[in-house]
Amino acid sequence: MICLLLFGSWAAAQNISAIEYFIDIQDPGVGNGIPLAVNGNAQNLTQSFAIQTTGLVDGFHSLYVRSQTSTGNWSLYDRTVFYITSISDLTQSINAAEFFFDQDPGIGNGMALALNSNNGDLTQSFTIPTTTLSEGFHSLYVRTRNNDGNWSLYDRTIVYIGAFTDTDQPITAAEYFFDVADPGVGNATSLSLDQNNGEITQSFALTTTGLTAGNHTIYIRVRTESGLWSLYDSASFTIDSTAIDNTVTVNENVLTANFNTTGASYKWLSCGTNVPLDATGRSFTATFSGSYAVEITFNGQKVVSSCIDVTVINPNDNDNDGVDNDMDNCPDKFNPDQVDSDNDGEGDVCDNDMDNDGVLDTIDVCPNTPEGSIVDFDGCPTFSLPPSNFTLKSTGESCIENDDGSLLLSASIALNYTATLSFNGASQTSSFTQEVGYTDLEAGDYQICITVSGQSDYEQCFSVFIPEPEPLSVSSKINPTDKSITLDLKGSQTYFIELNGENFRTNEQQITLPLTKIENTLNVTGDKGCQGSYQDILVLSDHVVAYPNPVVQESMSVYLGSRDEFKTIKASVFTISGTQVLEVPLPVKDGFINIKTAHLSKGVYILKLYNKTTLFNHKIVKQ
Amino acid sequence: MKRNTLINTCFFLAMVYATAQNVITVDNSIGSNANESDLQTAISNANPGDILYVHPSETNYGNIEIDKPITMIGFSHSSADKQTLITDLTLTSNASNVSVSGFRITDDLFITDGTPISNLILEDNYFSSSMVINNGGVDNLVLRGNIINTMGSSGASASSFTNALITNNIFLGNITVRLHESVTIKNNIFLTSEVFNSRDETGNVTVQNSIFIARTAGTANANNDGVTFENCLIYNESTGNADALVGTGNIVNVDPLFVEDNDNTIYEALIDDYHLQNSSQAISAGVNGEDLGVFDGGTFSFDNLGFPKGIPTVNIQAISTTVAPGQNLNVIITTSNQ
Repeated sequence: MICLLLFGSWAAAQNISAIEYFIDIQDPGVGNGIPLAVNGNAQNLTQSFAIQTTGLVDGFHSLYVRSQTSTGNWSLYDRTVFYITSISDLTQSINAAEFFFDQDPGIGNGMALALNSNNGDLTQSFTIPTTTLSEGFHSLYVRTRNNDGNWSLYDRTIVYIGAFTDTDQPITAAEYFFDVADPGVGNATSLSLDQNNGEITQSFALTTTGLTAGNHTIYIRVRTESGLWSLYDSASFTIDSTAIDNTVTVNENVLTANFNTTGASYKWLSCGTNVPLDATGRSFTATFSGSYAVEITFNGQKVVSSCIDVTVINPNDNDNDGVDNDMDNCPDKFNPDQVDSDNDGEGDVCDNDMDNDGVLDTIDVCPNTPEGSIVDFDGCPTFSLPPSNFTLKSTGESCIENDDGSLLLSASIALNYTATLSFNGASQTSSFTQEVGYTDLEAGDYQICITVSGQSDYEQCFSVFIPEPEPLSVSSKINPTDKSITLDLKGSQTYFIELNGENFRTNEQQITLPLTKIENTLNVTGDKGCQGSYQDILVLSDHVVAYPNPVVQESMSVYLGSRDEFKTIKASVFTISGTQVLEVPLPVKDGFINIKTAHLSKGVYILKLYNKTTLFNHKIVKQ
Repeated sequence: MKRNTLINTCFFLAMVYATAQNVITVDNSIGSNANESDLQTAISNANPGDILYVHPSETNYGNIEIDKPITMIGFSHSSADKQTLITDLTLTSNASNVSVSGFRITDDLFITDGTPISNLILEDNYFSSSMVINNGGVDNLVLRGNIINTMGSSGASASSFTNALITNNIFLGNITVRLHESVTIKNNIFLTSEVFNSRDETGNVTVQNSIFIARTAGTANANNDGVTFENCLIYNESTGNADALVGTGNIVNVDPLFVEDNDNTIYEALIDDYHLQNSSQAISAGVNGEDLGVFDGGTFSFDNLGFPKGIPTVNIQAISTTVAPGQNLNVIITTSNQ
């Protein structure tokens, strides 16, 4: 549909009486176009039209328009060009996606990705297999298709595929060589390593047979189970007949270096672990079972003894690690270092959940989850936000049915959030990063749920109530004895009371005021004008009083004169000629009854009120 | 030696080529008996695909030029007692498919002008000065786990890298990107340094999950033309404030709460620990809920000391310096995986 705004001005005071148009086709001749309804005009006319374009193909078209004066003269046509094209629906879904590595297989020929439902705007994560890719650099391409079938251009990112292995793999081989040029990895003299999980301290007694006296260098390197060699480490030593004695005498768990010369220093070593021993005397008492050696330094020489196995029996130390059971953070496994990396009171060698996420290390895909993280069944962190991240502030309606309540939702961490506010089955969705507000809310229970872009598993919901003020409520009770009235008040903070022209103000919900007249006028208002007011006439009398009298309203109140012994009373109304027009039992409340008089014609009536023993007659007038 | 391992369990990249490989040991320390003592000679004698184990030494291996596809593995860039040092490292036109890890390059890294090289992997190194990547540059670059002073410059040809994965590094100086397309800059820490885009007229480079630490009494501002930030954090360690980063999901002037940064913006390998404390706002604040910073929530094992990933270490803990003829040589070793 196209809209046309036509403006015309003709001389000689002639009105525009007809307008016609045609599109594209050859001029059908004046008066043969498609007519357009013309507004009333006086010579000049400016008018807009909506012209259907149904049936026109996409592309350029010409619109011709001309008008006719009331005298029958046609104008020359005016022509304009317009363009018909399909408008893509921005909310149409993205319904297909595909990826490929390195080489474009052509649109529609990539590997399909399953998409979540969407309205044209989608953020989604995928796990894309890379098992077919060789080691090295690759480009990942992704493109999507909308509901119209139009494909996007692709996006591309570089990825690197490498061979991965973990650091817990054992170190399974070691080798050494003396002095000679490096024979190449794997070609030196091999050493046998104890079982390990990627870390080990071990001692060796290497034969030096064949080495001449003098200086030498030893080179040692190791290899992982997967075949990766370390760089070597090297150390120098001397073959010399003057070498000091490096032997040790063992007496149960006491080890003593045999070399005993003034000036010698001793340092005891643990051969099986990398735990330093704080022992520097010539003798050393092992407190737990293990393998020990001594390093003796004297006069420029440094010698190391062979490692000596010592067994220590301690009934209070099950694992013989030198730490009594009651102090041992892993009493049945040897751990003299008592290392407890996560400070959970359980030694690392016993700890089967090192990151304390509740998922055993044996099945924990993410075994180093930071402390306090919320994790999934695989032990991997799931997205979470601090409990204090969101602040929701509500403001109630200013008055009943004003529908002006509000909510303000704030986030301390700025992210791409979506908030969905639900109320009475309807909902509205808003995007925000740190703050979103809602206004003009009616009173009631709302739920607001927050999601985070890219975190499909995260949703935080809050329930919130938008209050509205109570309606102003006043109930009164007359106390004839002390001539007072007690008002029970609800619905406001402050109450403004006007009794017989005298003003009172109270913040209490009950107030007792003196009644100074037989007929007392009461007006109560709250602190919100929109809550309205309460008005009443209070009659304090020992006599029966009907009011208003004459009555012009639909009802009349009758005060029974402090006769609170009545629970019900029968009321009859007679015309002055004696015809009964009403008879009804009525409940007595606070000494009052209420008689409906709407059906009474104007005139004078006799009201009779009676119970079993008492009768009252009153003349009333209906105006 | 018990290495100060920052992550107990990690995964590493084993740089193993499918072609036949020889491991060549190189050691220029006095009295050593490695296969080679001069690194440049070792490179000259190496066949494509060979692996050079370059042992630590007090003597810098000097200016080194790589002109063939090889893997060079050093000991460590910041170990307290042993490091493998190179002065200038130059890669020439034939230096595609090169991996270098575990070195301290005490001066510059140069990619020479000429035929572009490809498939360059630089991991766990310390580039003390500038990384100058001239025309024709590097296509396919992995730059990961390094300490980097300055990378590229606003000069027309000094930042010629494309298809680059620049992740899990600590930058001490600025990085300038020229060919921003398909350059990933993610999970880095920038100590008083920034990211520049020298050709911002062609589009933006995006920095993700990274932490910028400033130290100024004024207002820290890491924004530059052509650079956008997604889920990054900027913090001014001094008394000044910090301007918001241009982009989405960023955290402004909040202390990332590193376990230890010695209250300064200097990289101190033996002191600093850039793990995040449990109460850090940088945890789970990344683009897909990852942690910000170099450890990427434990998925990357950043090593302060620069031990090459996947290569075990061995240390002679104790040995007799003097042995009587015919007597056994008692030696105690400590070895561990990275």
